[in-house]
Amino acid sequence: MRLRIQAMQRRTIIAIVIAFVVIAIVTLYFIFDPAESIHAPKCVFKTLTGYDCPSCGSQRALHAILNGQLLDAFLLNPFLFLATPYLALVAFTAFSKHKIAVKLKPIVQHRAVIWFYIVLYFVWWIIRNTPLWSVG
Amino acid sequence: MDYNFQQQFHQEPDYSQQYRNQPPPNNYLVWGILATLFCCLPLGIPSIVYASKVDSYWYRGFYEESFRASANAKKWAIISAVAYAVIIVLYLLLVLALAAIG
Repeated sequence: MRLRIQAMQRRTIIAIVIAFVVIAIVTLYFIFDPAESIHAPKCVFKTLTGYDCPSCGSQRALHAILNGQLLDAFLLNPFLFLATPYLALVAFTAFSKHKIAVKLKPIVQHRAVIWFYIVLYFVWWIIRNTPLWSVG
Repeated sequence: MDYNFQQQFHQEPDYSQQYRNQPPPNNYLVWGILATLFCCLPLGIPSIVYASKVDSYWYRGFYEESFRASANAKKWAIISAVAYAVIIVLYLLLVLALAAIG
């Protein structure tokens, strides 16, 4: 019984910490444009090579979304608009014991779907650094 | 497909009842994907590749391989996390050094 309470308290603390961090990040990126701010962390890959990494543009996209510019955000990094919902689905099917999660897991975490993600990751990485991709 | 699969490992599926109807081991897919999205380094990719094998091995009866894929997925997720931490620390040091000079 005591163990269960301790486990619940730990979960509550983790949830509060996560909520606090999310609120802080959302507030910061709502107010500050990472493209203008020198304090926004720069992508190491881009700094070293000059090429975009697959996630480059995510901070600017977050700023754009929070300010209601959905199309701008999408054009900055369309890959993230697939990857983030997919990540959420994977997390849901991995951590939830809800019967929908149990039913979805074999589809969401199917080998073919995972491989589609890997291929898309590299295809997007290459294409965004070619003249084929000139937006964003 | 199955023929090649078995040839590759020179092994028969484990027909013992020990793991029957048990859920497959953790594939750590969440952490692999997080690594590819946050790291800028494709170190999360090996983790994801191993993650993709955990369930398919398991439901074919290759329990040993499934456990091994799970352990490897975990290992590579940890490697990416450590690499990410190292990069962040180096980056902060660089920024501080530049600030000290400039």
